[in-house]
Formats: sequence, C-alpha cells, structure tokens
Amino acid sequence: MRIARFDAASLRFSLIVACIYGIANVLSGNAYLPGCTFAELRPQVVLPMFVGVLYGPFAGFISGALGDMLGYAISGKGFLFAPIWSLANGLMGAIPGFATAWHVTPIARMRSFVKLQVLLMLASSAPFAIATGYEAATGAAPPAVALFHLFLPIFITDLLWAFLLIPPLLYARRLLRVDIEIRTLLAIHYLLLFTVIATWLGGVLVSSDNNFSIVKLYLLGCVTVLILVVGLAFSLLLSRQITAPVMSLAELARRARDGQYPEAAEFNPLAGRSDEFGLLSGLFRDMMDAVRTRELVLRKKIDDLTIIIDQSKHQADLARITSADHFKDLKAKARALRQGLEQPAKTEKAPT
Amino acid sequence: MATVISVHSFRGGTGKSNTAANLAVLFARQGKRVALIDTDIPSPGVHVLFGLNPGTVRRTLNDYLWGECPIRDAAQEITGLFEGAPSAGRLHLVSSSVNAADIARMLRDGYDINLLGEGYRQLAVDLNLDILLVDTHPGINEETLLSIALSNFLLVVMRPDHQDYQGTALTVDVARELEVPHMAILVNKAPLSLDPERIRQTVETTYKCPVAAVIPHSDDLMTLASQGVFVAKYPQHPITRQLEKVAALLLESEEA
Ligand SMILES: Nc1ncnc2c1ncn2[C@@H]1O[C@H](COP(=O)(O)OP(=O)(O)OP(=O)(O)O)[C@@H](O)[C@H]1O
Ligand SMILES: [Mg+2]
Repeated sequence: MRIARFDAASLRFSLIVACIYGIANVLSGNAYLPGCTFAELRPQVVLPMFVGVLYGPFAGFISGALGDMLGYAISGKGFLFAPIWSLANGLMGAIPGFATAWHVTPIARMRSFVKLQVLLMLASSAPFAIATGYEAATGAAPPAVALFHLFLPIFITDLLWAFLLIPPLLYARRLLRVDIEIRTLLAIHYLLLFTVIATWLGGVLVSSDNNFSIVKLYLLGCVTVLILVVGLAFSLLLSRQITAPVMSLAELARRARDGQYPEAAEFNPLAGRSDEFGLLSGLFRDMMDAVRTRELVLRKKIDDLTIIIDQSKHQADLARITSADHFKDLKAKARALRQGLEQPAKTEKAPT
Repeated sequence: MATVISVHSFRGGTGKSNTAANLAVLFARQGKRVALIDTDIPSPGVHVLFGLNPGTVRRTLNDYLWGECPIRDAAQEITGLFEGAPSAGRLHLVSSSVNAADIARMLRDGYDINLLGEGYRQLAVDLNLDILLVDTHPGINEETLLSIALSNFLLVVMRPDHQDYQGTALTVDVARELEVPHMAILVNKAPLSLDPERIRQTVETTYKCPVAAVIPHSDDLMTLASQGVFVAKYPQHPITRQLEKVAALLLESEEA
C-alpha cells in the first residue's frame, strides 16, 4: 500500500497545524451547539483531516491528537485531560490520510470524489463512535447521553464541516480538478449541503423556542445527514448521466487522436440521441470521417513513388534491339531522314 | 519545315491516342497546320476520338502503304470539327483501317517500311505541314523505331506503374541511340494519392529526361472514354491547362 511519505517537512507541517488546531479548540470553546457543552462549533476539525489528505495518516494523526492535547494544556486542564478523545481526534486526522493509498487525490473523476466523501464520513464518525463507546462502557456517560449528547453532535457537525471545507482546501492545493463531471457533482454537493444545514439550523432555532428536545434535534440531524448521503448518491447518478456521453465521446476522440479511428457505427448510440449531445456527436462522427479520409489521401501522397529498373535486363533488351541490322541501318540514316523531312517542306513552303 | 512529333509508350493503354488527339487540336487552334497520323495499324483508334466512324474514312494509311493511293488521299481534313481555330490552323487526320481483313493482310504480308518514312515526308510537303503528329502502336518494333527515328520530338507516355518502368527506360534509351533531338516524358493517369511534384522529380531523376506533365487519373477523361477530344469538351479543365503547357513545350522545340 502506498501512503504519503512521512518526512521532516510533513512532520513540521503537522506540528504547526497541531498548534493551530489546539489554539482554535480553545478559542471555539465557547461556541457550543445547543444541548451539548462538549461538542463545540469547530470548523477547525477539517485541519487534521486536511493534513491527513496531504501528508498521510501519521501526519494527520499527529496534528489531530497533539492538537487536541495542546488545547487541553492551554486551557490549563493538562495534556492528558481526555486521552481517549485525543486518540479519537488523532484517528480523525489519520483516516483521510489513506487518500493517497486509495487513489483519491488528485481528484479528477467522480470516483475519487466519492472516495473522498467516504473517507470524510468515516473520519467524522468512527473515531468518535469509539470514544463515546468507551465513555458509555466505562459508565462515564449513560448510553442515551453518549449517543445524543456526544456522538451525534460531533459526527453531524464534523461531517458538515468536512464536506463544506475540504473541497475548497483541496482546490486551493490543486488537488481537485474542476472539470464538468466534478463541477456537476460539486454543485449538487453544495446545494444539498446548504439545504441540509439550513434545515437543521432551522430545526435548532424552532426547537430552542418551544420545549426544547435534544433527542429530536439530533434525530432531525440524523435524518438530514441521511438525506445528504442519499442525495449525494443520486447526484452521482445524475452527473454520471450528464458526463457519461461526454466521456464516451472523449474516449472515441482519444482513439482518433492516437490514430485508431473509431468506426462510424460506434458513434451511433451517441449520435442517435435527440438532444444537443446527439447533434454534437453526429457532427463529430462526420468530422472524424472527413479527417480520416483526408488523412488517408495525404498519407498516400507522401508515399514515395519508387521506380526500380532491372539494369541487367535493361542492358540486354537494349543490346538486343540496337544490335539488329535494321536498327543499325536505321541509326545510320536517322539524321538524314529527319533532315529530309524538314528540307523539302521548307523548300515547298518558301514560295507561299 | 515540318516538325515530327511522335507520341509513344512501351505499354498499351497509357493514353497515347488521347494525348496525340488533344495536342493536335491545340496546335491547330494556335494556327498551326497539323496532321495527325495513326500508325497503330494493328489496333487503330484515334479517329474514334474525333467521332469519325470508319465508314466515313474512304482511304486509309493501309491503302497508301499498299501503293494504292498517294498519302494525301488518306488524309481527311477535320478542321471544321473544332470551332474557334484561327483561320490559318488546319487539322488533318490520316487513319488506319479498322477493317479486320485489312489488318490481317497487313499483319500477314507486312509492308515496305521505307514507304512509311516517305509517306511522312510526302504528307508534310503535300499539306504544307507545320507539325506532323504520330500516334504509334505500343512497344518497340520496326515501325515504331522508324517513327521514333524520324521524330524531332518524342513524347513518351508512361503511367506511374511498375509495369511501365522498364519499358519506358528502354524506349528512352533507344531514342537516345537514335539521337532523337528532343524528348520528354508525359506521366499519365497518375493516382490522385501521389504527389505530382514528387512523381515529376522521381521520373526525371530516374530517366534523366524532362517530364512534360504529370496528368492525374481523371474521371472526366475516363467518362469521355474516347468519345471526344477532351480539350474541346472541357476548355476550362485543369487537365486542359496542363495539355496546353505540353503543347507550348513542344512548340518551343519546333521553333528552336
Ligand atoms: N488521365 C486519364 N485519366 C483517366 N482515363 C484516361 C486518362 N488518359 C487516358 N485515359 C483513358 O484510357 C484509355 C486508353 O487511352 P488511349 O486510347 O488514349 O491510350 P493508348 O495509349 O492510345 O492505348 P493503345 O495502346 O491501346 O493505343 C481511354 O479509355 C482513355 O479515356
Ligand atoms: Mg492508341
């Protein structure tokens, strides 16, 4: 398995990010979500994830775990205030670190974008499932509290942050190539994301006015995340439908570029469409046909004409003709014959 | 003085008759007094290009060679078939007989080869010719050698086809042996897929002989299929332009 190399540069980078992450954790300490004094509104969670994507699991782990511990240390609680949560933060950074190994980056195709989303979903759920599971198991928190006050708030907010911020960060690092396929996907991705966030925040506002129920709030959160995931899956199908013909046309064009001109019939499924794309494909097919014919003609033109003469046969043939008596005779009088043809005519013409 | 121009090729079907007929018309249009003589006795055909059916040809080259008439009786003036010729231009045609019995007799008994040469001379005198164009039988035999020997200009027609290469070399070298004063190769029926300029270069370097033109294989020419004279039917055609250049080249040597 190929993972990003962990070297001095990536260590330095992960340490810097750990510091930023720690400080950001302290600063965001007061921005709680309703009902959860533990899970703050923490956009900075994307930092360890991003380090993971860039420099691999080790770097991601260091920036996540160390940053978390630093945060506790700065706020005076001590480095090892909550080691299981520091571990979870480390894992959160480590999981996206498998992006390289899983051929996620650079993101140029739908497949790699989906893989990224899966990694981000794993990174914002699995580590915290472990940590909350541990809390519940040790009796530190009753199961319902662990689920609704710990796990779900963290999972939902981290996932939304990750989905919201990781793509632009990747784009900034030129790890996301925005072609039509990705662009279509991104448009739907963000549309869904904003809808989900708006719905959920609306839920938060409404429920804080009435008799407030954390359980209902986070159940709503779960539903919206589910909608997000299902919506993304649909968007995948949708954008694939948009881009699939482009990609197959591109494949045909690629073959033509490499000199393997596709048969006209291969265009038919595309050219047979009744939409604009069918029109384009039809034109494409005709163009390729014309280009191919023209190329054929030109290619033949540069074929050299080679004239080969069998010299020994030639000399023999020539000798056979020139050695004949009638030829010698003809040769002897040829000049005179030619002059004879010219002279009389001249004399005849002179009087006219 | 009459200039004898022979159009010859080693192989058959290269386009000799077509070329000769077209050149004859072009010369006449330039005010030249021209006779075109079909010496392809075994398989005559140039008259067909002028739309003449053999019945209308009273006397033929065969009759002359058998001593049955003077050569001028075998000549038929066909200037009127082509409009637009300057008044001075004249076009005469000496056909060979298409009668199977005549051809057979000729092949069986032969004829006095010297009569042919004498016929050229007499025709030039009788018709006061500027140019005598000779359409030949393909290959090298006594008559074609004579026509070549008598030529002031030999136009060797060849197709860019390996079957023509060896024979063209032979024709060219035989003409050199006979010290023909002027010679050029006309490449005919060149496939469109070959670059004419490259053909010209290759042929010129191979045979060390100037190329008068590289005429492409033409569907127009093909469709006309010996039913007419191309330059008259298609005065604006690129091939007509090419043939006009060939005619000019031949006239240069006539004037020289
Ligand atoms: N450039 C050309 N493109 C296409 N067809 C041509 C071309 N030149 C001649 N032809 C055709 O080739 C055929 C033979 O032409 P032509 O009779 O002039 O040849 P030839 O050398 O006189 O033949 P032969 O040796 O039988 O006398 C004719 O049907 C003529 O129309
Ligand atoms: Mg002929």
